[in-house]
Amino acid sequence: MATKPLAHPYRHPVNDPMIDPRTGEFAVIAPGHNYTSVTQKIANIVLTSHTPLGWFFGLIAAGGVASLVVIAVTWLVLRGVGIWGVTIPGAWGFAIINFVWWIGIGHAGTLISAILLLFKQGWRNSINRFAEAMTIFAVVCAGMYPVLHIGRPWLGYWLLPLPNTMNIWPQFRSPLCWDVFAVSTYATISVVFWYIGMVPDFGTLRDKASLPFAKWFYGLLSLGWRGSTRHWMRYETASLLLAGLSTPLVLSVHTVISFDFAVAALPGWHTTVFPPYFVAGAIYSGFAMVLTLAIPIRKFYHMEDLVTLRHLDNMAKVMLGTGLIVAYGYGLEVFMAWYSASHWEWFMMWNRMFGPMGWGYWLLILFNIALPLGTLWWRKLRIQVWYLFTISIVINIGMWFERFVIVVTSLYRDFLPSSWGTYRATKWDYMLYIGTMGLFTTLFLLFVRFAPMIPMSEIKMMLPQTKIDEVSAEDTVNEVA
Amino acid sequence: MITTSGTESLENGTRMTESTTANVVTSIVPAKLTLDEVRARLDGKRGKKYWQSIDDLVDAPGFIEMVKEEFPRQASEMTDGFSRRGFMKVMGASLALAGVTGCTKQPDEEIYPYIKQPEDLVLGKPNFFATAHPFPTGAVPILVKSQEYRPVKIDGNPEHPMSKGKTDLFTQATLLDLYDPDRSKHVIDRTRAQNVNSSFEDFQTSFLEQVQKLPAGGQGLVFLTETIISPTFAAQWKAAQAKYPGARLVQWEPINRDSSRIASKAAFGEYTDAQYKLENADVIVSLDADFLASNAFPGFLPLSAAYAERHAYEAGKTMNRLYVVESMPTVTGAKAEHRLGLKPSDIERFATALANGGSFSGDEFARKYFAALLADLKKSGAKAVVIPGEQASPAIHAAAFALNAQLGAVGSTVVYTRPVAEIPTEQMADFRNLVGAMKSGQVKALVILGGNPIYSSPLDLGFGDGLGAVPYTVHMGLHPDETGARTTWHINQAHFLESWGDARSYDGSVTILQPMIDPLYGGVTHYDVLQTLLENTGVSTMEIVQANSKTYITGDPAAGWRKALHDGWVEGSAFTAAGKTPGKASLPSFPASSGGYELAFRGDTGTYDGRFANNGWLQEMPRQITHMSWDNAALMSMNTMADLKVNEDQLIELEVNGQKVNFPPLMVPGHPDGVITVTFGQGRWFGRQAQFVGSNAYKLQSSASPYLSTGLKVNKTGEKHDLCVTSVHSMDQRGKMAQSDLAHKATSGNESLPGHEAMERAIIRTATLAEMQKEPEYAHESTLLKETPKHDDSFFPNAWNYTDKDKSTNVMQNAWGMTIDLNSCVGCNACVVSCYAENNISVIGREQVKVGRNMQWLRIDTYFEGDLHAPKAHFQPMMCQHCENAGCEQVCPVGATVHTPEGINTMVYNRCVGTRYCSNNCPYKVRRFNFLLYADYDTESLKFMRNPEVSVRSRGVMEKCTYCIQRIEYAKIEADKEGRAVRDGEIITACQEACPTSAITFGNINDPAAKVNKLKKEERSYQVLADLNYRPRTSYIAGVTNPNPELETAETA
Repeated sequence: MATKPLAHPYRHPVNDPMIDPRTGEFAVIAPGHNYTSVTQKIANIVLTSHTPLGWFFGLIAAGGVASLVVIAVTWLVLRGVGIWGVTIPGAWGFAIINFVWWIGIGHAGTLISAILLLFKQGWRNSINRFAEAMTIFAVVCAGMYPVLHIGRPWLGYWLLPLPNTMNIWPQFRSPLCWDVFAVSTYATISVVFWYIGMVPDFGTLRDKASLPFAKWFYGLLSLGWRGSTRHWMRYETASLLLAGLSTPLVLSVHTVISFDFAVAALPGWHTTVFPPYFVAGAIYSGFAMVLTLAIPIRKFYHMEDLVTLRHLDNMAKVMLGTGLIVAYGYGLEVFMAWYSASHWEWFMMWNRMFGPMGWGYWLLILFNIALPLGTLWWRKLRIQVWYLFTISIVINIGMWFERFVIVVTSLYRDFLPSSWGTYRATKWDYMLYIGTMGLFTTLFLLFVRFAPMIPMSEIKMMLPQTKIDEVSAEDTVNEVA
Repeated sequence: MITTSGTESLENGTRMTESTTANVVTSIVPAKLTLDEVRARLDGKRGKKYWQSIDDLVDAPGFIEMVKEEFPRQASEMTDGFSRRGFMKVMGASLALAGVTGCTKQPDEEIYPYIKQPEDLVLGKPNFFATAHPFPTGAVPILVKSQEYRPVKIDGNPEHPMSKGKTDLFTQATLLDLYDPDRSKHVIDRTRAQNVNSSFEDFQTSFLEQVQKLPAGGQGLVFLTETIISPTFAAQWKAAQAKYPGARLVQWEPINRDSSRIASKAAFGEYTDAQYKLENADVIVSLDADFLASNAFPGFLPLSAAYAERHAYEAGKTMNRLYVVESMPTVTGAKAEHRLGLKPSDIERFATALANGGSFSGDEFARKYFAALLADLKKSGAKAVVIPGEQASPAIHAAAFALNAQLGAVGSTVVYTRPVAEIPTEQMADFRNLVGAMKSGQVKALVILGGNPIYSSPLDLGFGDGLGAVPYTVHMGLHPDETGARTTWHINQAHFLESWGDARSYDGSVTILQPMIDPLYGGVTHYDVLQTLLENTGVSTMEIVQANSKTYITGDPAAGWRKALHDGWVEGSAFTAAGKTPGKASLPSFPASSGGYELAFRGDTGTYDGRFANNGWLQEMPRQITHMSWDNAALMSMNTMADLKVNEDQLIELEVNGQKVNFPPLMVPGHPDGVITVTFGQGRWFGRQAQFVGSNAYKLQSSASPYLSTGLKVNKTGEKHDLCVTSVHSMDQRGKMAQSDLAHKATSGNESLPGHEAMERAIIRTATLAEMQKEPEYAHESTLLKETPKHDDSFFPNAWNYTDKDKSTNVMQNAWGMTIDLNSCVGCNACVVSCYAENNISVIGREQVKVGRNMQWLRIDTYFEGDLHAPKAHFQPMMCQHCENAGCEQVCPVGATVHTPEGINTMVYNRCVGTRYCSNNCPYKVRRFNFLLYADYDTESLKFMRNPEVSVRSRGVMEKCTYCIQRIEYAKIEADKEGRAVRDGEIITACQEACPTSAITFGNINDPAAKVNKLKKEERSYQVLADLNYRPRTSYIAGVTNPNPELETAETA
């Protein structure tokens, strides 16, 4: 966290409640909080004996939707992927689109928890916990698809390099094989990072809990956390190391997933711009999803003072930045289609824009580029909560269409006109997709109820209480110098 | 048409709306059964195997209805994503298996070894037997591959002088007919109050009793057969006629050769067949003759082979030139240098004008065409030939007779012989008389030997009513079909692969049919029925045939018989030219147009007259030109479609003489305006594959003018119909295009996106003879798009070039490759069906084909070129290209598709997990995926049919063409045993073996002497999508056409 005083502290009006009068920093938490109030506010959501009724309604609704997954998967395993709309030439459809979409969403969590930590962006502290949870639940939803979409799901483990008597290994040149490593590493690191970050908070919950079961439960989870200086030191070191480990993952996971497409020789897939543009797109959609989740939750649990407009503004700025990279990617695809002088590329782009599924491309441009990037320049809109909520959903739809356009419009009209076809998703495709949204929401609701959704320990580090000591200490040092 | 609701009753599920249909169906369904009764019946049948008992029951009265009520609409179950029955079935199975996962016990099966192994049988090694496929236009000599005495593959008899080892799609598909699970399994006796499964012996007793009751001489006894091409049956009939002079024989088939019969009778004074010698023809004129499609045209095999041979380009040889004047676009029209699309009535005017040397009044192009054709004919003289179509009017045949005589072609390009049919008749006239006699009560006993007139007779004759008026009716057939359900006796017929017999081929040569297998259901043949009449039942069919064979076997009968059985034909039995010259006669022509649309009838290119409608291979095969599968449609031009203001997703009602049938419209490029073509062979109400498919065109047919009706009215129904067309590329745009103004403008080829793209991408490369002489390298014009990058251009320059030598023998390894000559390929689909049989390809049903999951490993891509109203078409057989640099192999995460050292891209089915990434990365899209469990593991009869050398693929597995690797390995093993290399031509892939025009060549490209290598080195040889650097092992030989320079300028002007 930045502790250096601003060079010109008086540039800002001193009576702005969001500016720390001592340091001149933007405060990211509303004033009036101290250690006790933060603990009370966050721990109460978990330890309260009066669970809000709305939570129950939410859980029932989300659980109901999630049960679609069970139906869809059962029938899928019994009958085969033929119940979906996949066909020849469009052998990949909703499963891959949704896989990439969910994995992309997960990226924001890792970015917030790892990269922003390394860059000492203090404001991340309010949102990193549930962004990480979102990552894990998104990976759960995403991870289901690659296994389910294969023809014989029960043999999915053949993609793992398991030693066997036949001495058969996966085919390591295949991007799908890389996928397995990328996604499983990503899931593991994310879960570990998430859990380590929660250990001090579980300690707090254990100490605050009154029910014996809760005491035992959180005691178990807190791994004997006592809050000693040695614990804190090791905790900080572990966080930093894990952040260092996860940082390349933010870039690598979606890069590897983009290889699924880029390695193939199919026009529309075979392009070198995919890795950076997939990563940017992933972060774009991930932040959109964090906003989609954060805005209702801060409202429901009255957390406007911990997740402030400043957070929303910052996230919107990240979206603006990554959105511009994505727009650049789209532009480059069109440019390269022309510049390559390749008939395949040019036809693919023409067909993508003006073919029978051209509507998909223009929806993508509208939802991903025109609407968000045209408006997020204005701070007034960026701190408009309802607007951000709307635009975050728009971006999520837009990013889904991006994957739809890449997967479907490249496949359905490829090299030989004789084998051109079309793609039409079936009710089973939709059922599984909507079901995973229900699953995601269910997991998330359970998380906000049973785990500290905002890291108490890290919020406390940002309180004026902490800062005063630091600043005065620094002042002393300066004076001595 | 086919409604998707699951609870429709049988009648409502089809497009047939007439009450007659409903009557038919209800009248064959007697009292209801309950499940308890079924169980009771099953209990009494402990002695038999379970599956046979169920089959027995299917014939029992009421069973079908019970099943229908118990499990509504099970027929199209595969199509429904979530049927209750399917769900319960799999749920039940999964529950049952829940306890035994991980330790699956294979079901107990008893294996009986031979106590005494037959001398000529080595298990696992096939035997080959010669016989013939009897078809009304002439038998096709075949060699049947038999594994442990089960026929598993039908191919042509390579030694036969007429067919030279080639077959057509029907002959290939008859294998599935043999194992059809819907085949008739019993003799059914309906003379008593209750239907009883009876025996042939009971029938014989009953039949003889019935004959005794008839007036002297057998007055009132009528046999209704299909066209007789069997000399033995003809001889038997002669004997029967002597015994019962009052008995009559009527031959009738819905698709017959009446036009040719009427015309030849008028011209020669007796029925005469024309045999065309296309090997001598420089100019071929087809007047609505589709002689390159299938055996539906007499002499398809020699005609197509000779056509292709003369159409091949070779320096110093004259290429033939094909003119086709036709109505419905056919593959013959597509192969033509110059095709003229005319209404059937206009074709008649055209033919007559041509014969009279006059002029033809039509549009500008037609007039130019006529003049150029006439000039070309005059120039070529005896080296020209005119071929009339079998569904053309007698007047067209007469014109053709006259023209060939004027040209001096008789003896050179055409010879006249006695007919292939043993007892030639004018079938429709005979049949009309018969139905009249039946209705008036003159017929006392009717014996139908083959055929299915209840379904396939023109509705205006009222054969159904006639049948009701005959007290004693017998039907013998392979299926208890529409007719078999209404006769007092039904006899299960033995398939031709199960029975003795003889049959004449197109050239007149006789082949003796020998059984390949004991009749699966104990069926009998038409010989046996006549033998009953002759009261000579102690003699076996073989003895009857053998006795009669003395009439055509010269020399020692015993040795001749053995030789004939071994060779597959009787030497010296072919017809000789009769040396007759036709006279002139005026003949019936098509009915005069009374305004409105004309309606033309054609046989289906898959189901023919409906006899193959229950054959899944033929139903699923995309039809020539239209690429329609599991459907038939009202085929029309785009202008007609625009005039009618209909779209391809609608259902229209065709009304002729008060009869109405619903069809979906389908635009066919090149179809003439003002006429609509419908095909027979669909809309049946019997058979698990046949029923619910398409509409019955016979209901619109009139007996007076069977192949052309006038005064057609087209009504809109407002119903929607989703046509099943496998090349969906243009479907999304085409219907709309017809409705837009585009239809009435001259549409250039650029309007057809796929055609335009095919040209742009150099997928099809073709030139005229003149262009080729100017630029011999036309198939490799210097654009980068067309050529394979050099090895050094690649990032990976040291690609394996498959020239390793065996260290011990210093022999270079094999490298398999294929060439396909696009000049020879006529798009007939024989290879597609052959591939089905060889490689155990699953039939997946209409709904699955409709979403684009068809499983054919080999498909005939058709690209149209030029004006949408009068396009040219190009065919390109497309299967796995076995790329050396295969994209599929690099992306498979489990290594399920790998390369062999000989350069074959193989699929390891049991390793495949089904990611389908390989298909995505395949630019040819030739990989086929088992999206559901397509293979039929339950039907017992189909298990016998499967090629034991090829795996049956289960659900979730990718499959594709293997270059028939089982045949390669077989040849390699044989060569190894003899300590030699595999000889060129020793390995023949299934598609290559079937191809009537020898367009496909396979061999070792490392062998400099191999034919495939020579072809690959030809200037015209090219690879499709070569610039992708996939390095396909299959290459194509660019087409050359020989257009008439006069017309060429007329067309481009």
